[in-house]
Amino acid sequence: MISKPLLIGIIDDDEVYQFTLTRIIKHHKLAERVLSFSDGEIALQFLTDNITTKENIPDVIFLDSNMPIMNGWQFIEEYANLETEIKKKVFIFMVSSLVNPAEVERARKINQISDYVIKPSRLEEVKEIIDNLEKFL
Amino acid sequence: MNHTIDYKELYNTSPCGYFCSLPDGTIIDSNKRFLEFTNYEREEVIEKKKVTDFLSAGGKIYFETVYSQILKLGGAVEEINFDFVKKDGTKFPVLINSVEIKDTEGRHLFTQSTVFNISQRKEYELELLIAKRKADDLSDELIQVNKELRSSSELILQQKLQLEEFNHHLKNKNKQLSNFAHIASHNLRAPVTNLNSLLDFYNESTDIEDRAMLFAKFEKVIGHLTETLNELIESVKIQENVNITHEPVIFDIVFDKTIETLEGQILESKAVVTSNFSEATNIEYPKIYLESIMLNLLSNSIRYRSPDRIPKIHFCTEINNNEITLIATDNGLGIDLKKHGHRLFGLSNTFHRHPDSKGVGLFMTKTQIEAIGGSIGVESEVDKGTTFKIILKKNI
Repeated sequence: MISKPLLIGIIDDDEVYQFTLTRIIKHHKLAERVLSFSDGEIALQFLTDNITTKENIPDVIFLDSNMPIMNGWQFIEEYANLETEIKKKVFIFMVSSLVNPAEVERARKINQISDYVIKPSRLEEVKEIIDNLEKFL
Repeated sequence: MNHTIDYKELYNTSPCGYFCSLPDGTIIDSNKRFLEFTNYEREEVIEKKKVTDFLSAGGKIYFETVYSQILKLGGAVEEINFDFVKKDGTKFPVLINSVEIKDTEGRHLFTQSTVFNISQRKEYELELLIAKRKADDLSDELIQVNKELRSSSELILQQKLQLEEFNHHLKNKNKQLSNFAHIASHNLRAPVTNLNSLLDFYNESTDIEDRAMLFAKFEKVIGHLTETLNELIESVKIQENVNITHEPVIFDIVFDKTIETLEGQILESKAVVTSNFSEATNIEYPKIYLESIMLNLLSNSIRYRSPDRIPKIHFCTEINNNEITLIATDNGLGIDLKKHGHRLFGLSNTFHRHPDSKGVGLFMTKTQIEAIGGSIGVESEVDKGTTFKIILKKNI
């Protein structure tokens, strides 16, 4: 079972997207808390610092594939090293403003990625993901 | 059985003609065969005709200048070829062998000659000659055909090279276009999605303060979108402008202008900027592109300097394989090429958390360089520095 209320993480360099996604999640009470990071490196640092604090580790992460400093793919590589120390299932969704077939294939081969989708930007799209997490267990 | 053959019979019926002539050429005796060859009666020849009477005008000259001289010198001639004229004026080819008969004191008494009718051989020779001429003609024809083939082959090779170059150009163009389409859709889609989300919020919101806050975000996204769009339009302009005028440009002059433009930043950063363009001092190139390329490279080097050391930036030119290469080296922050190499020249890709990093410069630089048929490469090590190598132009 997935414990609710959820903690959702957004890793994206687009501040406006961080804002809109956070607002949708909060407005519709899809999660209790939202954490935003503007690139993979900052997010990775946060996870490392909070690795033993289960309640600070997001249940769901929306990870932008294309970011400066450390992009989504690089983040996933680093995350794979941390994964065993994290005592909780984290659903990571690799998101992109465009779906690139080569990247879909790439994502399919990576265990840590639950799915690769176009950036959810409307309530229905976000709900579709959050209401169906069991699918990715 | 015992055959007795009269020597006179042999003399007359032998398959070759005999005649005997005086030193002045007068024929004093001949066998029947010779008379048969020439169609004359004995009385018409003996004591009446000279050897030269049987010769054509050309034959007479040859008789005097060659035949008689050899005979006088050596006492004999062998296989001299003449055309003999028959009584009816027709000619037949002969070979003559002659010997001088002398008395005991060495005086020339008369000349004995043998005449071989070589009509058959001549015909055969003629056939051979014709065959040889035909073979020669054929050989000439073959040489000609071969030459034509060779020149067509050269033409084909030329065309092949042209096609290859064209293909290379198309591939490059295609890559640029696909790159452009990718960049455009990526960089336009995100802000448009953001605008739609903000619009939804705005329409649903009733709170004045909230609406004002949303409006401020609209402005931000629209500003971003405008900037991205302008950059894309600029890059389309560069890509379309393949016929931009190339003019002689002196590296030193463009470089000095670049330094002047960035003087404030150079002073502020205390950067040591040096150059050496002695290897290639000038180039035929669109001046505005070279200015823009140098400006981008230099401002990047200053922007991404290391805070731990005095920035050192060096520009120079090299000629490698007939290509003018511009090299810009710095001792700045460097870029982790393993992580970012493939995105280094993309639009809006930045690799440093720097307040002014926008990532447009390198994208535009690359677009300009490739539009002229050049290429840009990079070597870098984190915290050591970066070197950009730009092949400006092939085939100087």
